[in-house]
Amino acid sequence: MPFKALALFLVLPALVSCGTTGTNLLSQDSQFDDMRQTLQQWSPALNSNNLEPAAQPPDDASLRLHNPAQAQALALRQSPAIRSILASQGIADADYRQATLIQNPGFSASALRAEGSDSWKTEFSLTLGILDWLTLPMRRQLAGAEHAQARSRAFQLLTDELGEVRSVYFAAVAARHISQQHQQTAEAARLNAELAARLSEAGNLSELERLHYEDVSARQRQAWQQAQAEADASMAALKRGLGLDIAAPLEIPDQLPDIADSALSAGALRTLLQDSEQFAMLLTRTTSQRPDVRFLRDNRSALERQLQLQRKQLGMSDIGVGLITEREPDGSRASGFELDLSLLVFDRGQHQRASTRAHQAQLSADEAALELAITYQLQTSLNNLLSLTEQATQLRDEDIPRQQRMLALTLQEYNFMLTGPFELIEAKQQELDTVLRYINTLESYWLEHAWLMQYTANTADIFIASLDSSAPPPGPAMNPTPRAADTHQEHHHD
Amino acid sequence: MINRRQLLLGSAAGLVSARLGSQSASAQASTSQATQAPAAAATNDLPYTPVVTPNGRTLPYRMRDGVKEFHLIAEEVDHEFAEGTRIKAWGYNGTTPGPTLEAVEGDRVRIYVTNRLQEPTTVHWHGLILPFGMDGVAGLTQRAIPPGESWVYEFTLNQHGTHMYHPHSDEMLQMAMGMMGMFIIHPRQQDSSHRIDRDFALLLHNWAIHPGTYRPDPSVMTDFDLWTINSKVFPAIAPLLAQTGERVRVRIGNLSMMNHPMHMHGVQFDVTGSDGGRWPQAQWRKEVTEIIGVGQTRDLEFTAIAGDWPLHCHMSHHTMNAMGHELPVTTGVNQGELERQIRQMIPGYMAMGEHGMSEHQAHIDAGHMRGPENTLPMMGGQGAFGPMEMGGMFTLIKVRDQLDGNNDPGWFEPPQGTQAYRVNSVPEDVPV
Ligand SMILES: [Cu+2]
Repeated sequence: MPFKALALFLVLPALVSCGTTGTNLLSQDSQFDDMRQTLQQWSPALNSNNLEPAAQPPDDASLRLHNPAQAQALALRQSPAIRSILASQGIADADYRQATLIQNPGFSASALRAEGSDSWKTEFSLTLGILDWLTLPMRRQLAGAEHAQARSRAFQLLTDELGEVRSVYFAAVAARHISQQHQQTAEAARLNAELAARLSEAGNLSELERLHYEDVSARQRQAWQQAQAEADASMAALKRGLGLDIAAPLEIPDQLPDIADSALSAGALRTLLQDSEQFAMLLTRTTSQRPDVRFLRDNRSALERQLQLQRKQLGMSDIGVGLITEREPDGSRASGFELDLSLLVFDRGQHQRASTRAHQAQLSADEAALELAITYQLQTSLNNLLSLTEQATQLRDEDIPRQQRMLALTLQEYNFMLTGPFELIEAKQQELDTVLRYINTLESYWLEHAWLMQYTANTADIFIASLDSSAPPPGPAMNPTPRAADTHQEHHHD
Repeated sequence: MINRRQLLLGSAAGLVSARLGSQSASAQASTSQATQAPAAAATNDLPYTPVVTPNGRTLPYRMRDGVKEFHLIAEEVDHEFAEGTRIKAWGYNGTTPGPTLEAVEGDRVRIYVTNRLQEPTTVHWHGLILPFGMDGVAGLTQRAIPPGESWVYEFTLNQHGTHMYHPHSDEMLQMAMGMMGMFIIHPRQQDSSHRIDRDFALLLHNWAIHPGTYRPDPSVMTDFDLWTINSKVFPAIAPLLAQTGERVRVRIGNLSMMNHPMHMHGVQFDVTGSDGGRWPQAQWRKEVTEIIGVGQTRDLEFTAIAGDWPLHCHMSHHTMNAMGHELPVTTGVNQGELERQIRQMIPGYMAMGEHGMSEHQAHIDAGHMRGPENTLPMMGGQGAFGPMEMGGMFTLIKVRDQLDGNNDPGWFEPPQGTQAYRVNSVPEDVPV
């Protein structure tokens, strides 16, 4: 099935974010042997050290994902939904071949005997649809266009699936990150409650006050439990998206990547939003890559060809040419041609052509509407990303350090008996709350980022990174990625 | 207007004090350098013993036409309560409290007041009997002195006693900022039977310097952070020096927002006067603690006994520096493992107060408990035998048989057999 591989995987590089080079993740997968060349050529992500085979001995050990590209690579290999898309492409391939064949010629034989005669009159005819022949190149084109449409549809589905994998990956990491943060907040509240209990035991704190701290602690513990449940659910969603067994061990990072790891710097985003030429370039790039736009365009050109075909067929619909051989009863032979056609009296194809032209107009309007929608969606998404970048940067560079400074100053006041231990621990809780806000902002950022990447068919980061030479290379580098593991892995492959 | 009779009286008094004045002025110059004690030798000719303002000074004057001329300058000052706490305060002539004015009953004084603040001010001569127009009440007795202007107050001192001066213009703020001073008027007729050898002037005040800040908060009414004697806190308050057997007078004025029961160790003092002047001896009473009410002054006299005797406010929070007032009580609370857990979350956390607060000074002195900037620890001060755990309105009267001039004599060593000592066991027949 080399065609299938080519058809689909020519577009794959656009679906999967880039990663670092390394050993081919799929190299041991015989199912994909025939794609390897294409993959290596087109998709660095799939060539990366993604699945860390070193940490993945044959049977039981858990998979470890460090970034969304690795998740996407795994999904390509594992996800039933993606396998279904690949299979549908196989069907389309077969249909295409079918459509490019010439109709089998017709053959008929007859034997007649005159009444009272001993001799038979036999007749053989071989008929071949001449139109079928004449229009073969045209039909091949048409089938090709339909096939391209099918490919676009598959591409769209794959884009969606892989985009979804990216989103659920980030959602899962975020949920873990948030859950850990809730754990710390709950721990701080527990310390306060424990302190209150000790003070109460010593007779220094009323029951009412002690219960107040206990109540706060209970609420925080509940929030943590909820966060844990959400983390579990997100992990399950990720596994499902990856096509893993629900019990399969899977490791993902504890923390979301920093905003600095994104290729989309605030400066580049601002440039893009302010410079209409740059934005137009991104729009062009997006529309040329997006499956739905390609789908509409392919549809339109298919209709164009259909229209041409209809014009060629004009006046000679259903022409049949036959080669007839007759053997007379007397043994003599007569051969000749037979032409068989229907008269274009009532249906001359004019309505069919009108319909096609109307379809064309509709598609063209649809395409314009889609482009307009894409323009707005892109603008909105870039705006959101810029705002989230600024918020996250402020939280990281100003708000969290401020809270840390406040905690340090509260400790100084505590040291001088100017403030009490409850206030001290509450200052720590304030800091934890700010960190939680930061994580929530990061989550929104990476989900928006994933959405934009999906929406632009994975082209946004490379394009935007090109606007800002100071930006890091595209593709979030997940921390922690221990260098030792990399070395180990390469060693393993030797 | 000064009438003819006042003028005559004034000039008559002026003649007398003109002679004294020049010597007095030179005496001030020497004491302004050493704040500990009067230069007794230089004051032998005076009919009175000049007052000493610990950590402060007496304002020099010049005689002009029989009038003692002083110059007070109201201005912002850079003030230090003790090492580690500096603020922007307001005061006079570079200090808070302002310099002590000292004169003699019957003197005519002309006091120039220059306003170097950015807002109007006045000087009210607290407790002085003077013409209405000299009373220094903004709006009532005069227009307030605008910034940059110099005004004159001139009147004759028709009384004696321990008095004070302070603004009566934006009074709440200006006093909260530290604008105040002592005004000592000696009786024309000295009490020869109780000649004073050492005379000290102490002015009590309170300050709201929130931890980590550099300027007083004038809105605070009760929860002050610092309680000061002459705008200093222990251990930065200069000790009062005297020699055994000397008669010592401690004049205490209070321009804070609270009454202070001032307690003296080692002696029963006589309360001998107030802003009402020196009391007739029949009115004197023996006390060990005297409440100095807000806006009042009291003179406490005693014969010095060798030792380092505390003189302090007996409201124990007033002998502390900045402290929190709404802390949970940690006495008797064993945090145990919890302390380690909290420290894990907040590095540097230490449980404190399980067995009392005494350990606090030990932690501070050991240097491993850093406090807010510009903030003094709640308690401090090292004596010869360990931490004194004091702050605020606390100082020492250091009495020795023989002083070495104005030098701090160091710690008093109790003579053999006169100091508390440790025993290994208490006889069982001592009832408990
Ligand atoms: Cu007091």
